[in-house]
Parts: sequence; structure tokens; C-alpha cells
Amino acid sequence: MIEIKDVYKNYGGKKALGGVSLSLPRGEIVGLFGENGAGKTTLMKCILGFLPYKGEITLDGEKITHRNIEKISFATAEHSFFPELTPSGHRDFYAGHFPRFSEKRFDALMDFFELPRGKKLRSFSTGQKNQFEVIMAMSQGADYILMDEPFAGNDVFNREDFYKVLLGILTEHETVLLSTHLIEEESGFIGRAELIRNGDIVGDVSMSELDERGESLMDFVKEKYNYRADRVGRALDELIGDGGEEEK
Amino acid sequence: MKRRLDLERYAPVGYDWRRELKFFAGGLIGAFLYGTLRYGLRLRSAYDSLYYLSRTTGQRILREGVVMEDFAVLIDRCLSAFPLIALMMAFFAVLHYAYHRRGSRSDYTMRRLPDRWEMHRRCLAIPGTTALICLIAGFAMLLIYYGIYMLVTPEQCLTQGQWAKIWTMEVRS
Repeated sequence: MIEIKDVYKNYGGKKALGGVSLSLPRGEIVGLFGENGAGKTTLMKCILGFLPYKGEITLDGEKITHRNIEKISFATAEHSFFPELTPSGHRDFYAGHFPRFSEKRFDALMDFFELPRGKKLRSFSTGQKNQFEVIMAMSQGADYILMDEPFAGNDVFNREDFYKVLLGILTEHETVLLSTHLIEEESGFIGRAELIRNGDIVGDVSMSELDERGESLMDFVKEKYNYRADRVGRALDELIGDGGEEEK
Repeated sequence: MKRRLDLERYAPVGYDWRRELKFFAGGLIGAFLYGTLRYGLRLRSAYDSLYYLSRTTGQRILREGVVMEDFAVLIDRCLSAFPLIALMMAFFAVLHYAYHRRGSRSDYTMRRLPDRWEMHRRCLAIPGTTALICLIAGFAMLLIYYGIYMLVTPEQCLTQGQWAKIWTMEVRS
């Protein structure tokens, strides 16, 4: 289990995370939702130790260090592959450094996404790069797979394929933390949703809980974000009203 | 069984280290040629000034009481390219780290490796080794030039403490 306790992070004087606490038990797919700048990426980078922070993050009860970091993989929209290396080169590199790297899963996913194995990553399209980023995160052999907007720039069919594959290949020990804006798309396959806003967790709900309440994930998000449904109508009224007056 | 050194393991992943090694080799050869040529010309000129040409016999005759120019003076800046290349390696080390942010953030992957030194080893090994080789080569050249100096200089023209003068001059400069 990844446990995050009272994690604070500031950039200069600006708050990025304001005492985030949450836990990610094994075998769950957790969606991390929030608007741009809410703190999703910062939280993931704190988990991975890429950023210094105040608070405590543990992995199966231990601090996250180089000794246990291989239990976590990371797919990011920024991409973390080596652009000058081919997929086959990546496979060899990962196999040599991550003891639980799954060549079988790598091969299956490469075949599924029909990616060329001998071309350098820099020559891939953005969609292919995203797919490859996810493939490496899924094949590393990690128990916790962190994905930060992995499909920014991919079309809806591509994403749907990915969700299906994800559900199909994940074992019961694997946990996925998936940060995204695509709330409705993901609601069908995540087990739990975490809402983050201005660096604070403002909502934590399991999908079964929402089902029992007969509430959709989007409704839950809107409620937690204090979404005002009449906002658009009022804005349009104002604009059209102003326009009308101007015409007069 | 003969084991081949796999240099790929000591360079950033996917990096064109062969091109870099060629550049380093070119630099070393250049430093060697520059040093040897400069030192050779200076030594030749100093050596020639020890003699004069007899008008009657046409033979070269050693001037009386003449002393050879100090080795420390002759060697001046002949070996400067070696430490310069060694210093340049700091730039290449920075370049190697920056490579991990070009086109992607592959440093994220490197920082997630169980071997926490992997990235540093790959970024520093080649520049560090090259810098060391440059310094050793520079020192080896110094010894060779010194040997040549001692060999060609007539004994009566040699002044004492030539080796020590190199370091005192270095300190003064």
C-alpha cells in the first residue's frame, strides 16, 4: 500500500499541495481528477521522490528509496522514454534494470498497439509515443503504476482500447493511479475516485458507493467542485443582453 | 576468455558516444601534435643557440660557458591543451545530464532505477575517464619531453634543478 500522510509542497511561496493524505491499497484502479494546476502531477512526483516535500509517503510501510522504487512505474504525458532508442532497445534496458520486467506483457502490448520495434522513439507520432510510454509502465513489473495524463493527444478510440487492455491484463496485485481530466470516460473502469483541487483532496469515493447512492461520478465531481450549472446561462444572458443594448 | 568492454553501459542510454569518443581522440591527437611541434621548435632553437658555426672549418662549435635554456621555459604552454581538454569534460558531463531532458524526461526513468548511481555513472564515466586520460597523457608527455631535453643537452650546458624548476615556475605563474 502507498500511504500519503500530510504531504505539503510549495513552489516558491505558492501552495501546490496543502496537506494531502490518501492511501492506495493493492489491486485498485484509482482515478485522480482535478483541473490544470490542481496538484495531480506534483503529487505523483512527490510519490516518486522527484520533488522534495514535507510529510510522509510510504510504500508497504517503508520510505520510498532506490531499494523499493522498482515497485512503482510511471507513465507521463511529458514522456520518460529515451527518444534515441528503439522499443527493442528499451526492452533490453528495462530487462537489465528492472528484475520483474515482463517481456511477455511488453510483446503482447507492442503487438496490440502495432508499434514498430526497430524505429527510434523520436520518429513516433505523439499517439504512438503515448502508447509506448504506457507499455513501458505496464511492463516494468511494478506493483503500483502511476499514470499522469498518459493519453493527452490520443483519440477516443485509442483511449477506449487502452482501458479495455488495462482491465484485461492487470493482476489483482497491481494498483493504478491514473490522473486525467476525462472523468466520464474513466468512470466505467476505475474503482475509486480522488478529487484534488488547489492542492487539497476534496473528494474520495469508491464507485460502488456512488452506485449505491445512484449518483454518477460527474455529479459527484460537480458537487465537490461547487459547480454552478446556471453559470453558463447567466453568462450568455449577460452577453446577449449587453449585445442587445449595444445594438439599440 | 577475452572480455570486451561494453562502453554503451557507460554512456547515456541511446547517446551517440562513438562520435564523442572520436572527438576526444581527435582532441588528444591535436594536443599531442601541438605540444610536440611547439616543444620541438623551441628545443631546436635553444639547442642551436648553444653553438656557433666555425668560419674556417664550417663545423658547429659549442660556445664557451653557455648554458641551455631551462626546460621549464622551453615547455611553456606546450602541454596546455591537455588540461584544457580535461576541463572541457565538465561541459560534456553537463551535456550528458541535459541529454536526459531532450525530447522527453528520460531522467525520470533513470531516477527510478534500483541502481541509484546508474545515471551518474552514465553521465560522468566518459568525461571523467577522458579527463583522467588527458592529465595522464599530459604528464607522460612532460616526462618524455624532459627525457629528450636531458638527452640532447650537452652535460656542460645543463644547470641544476631542472625538474624542480618546472613546479616552481608553475607555482609562480
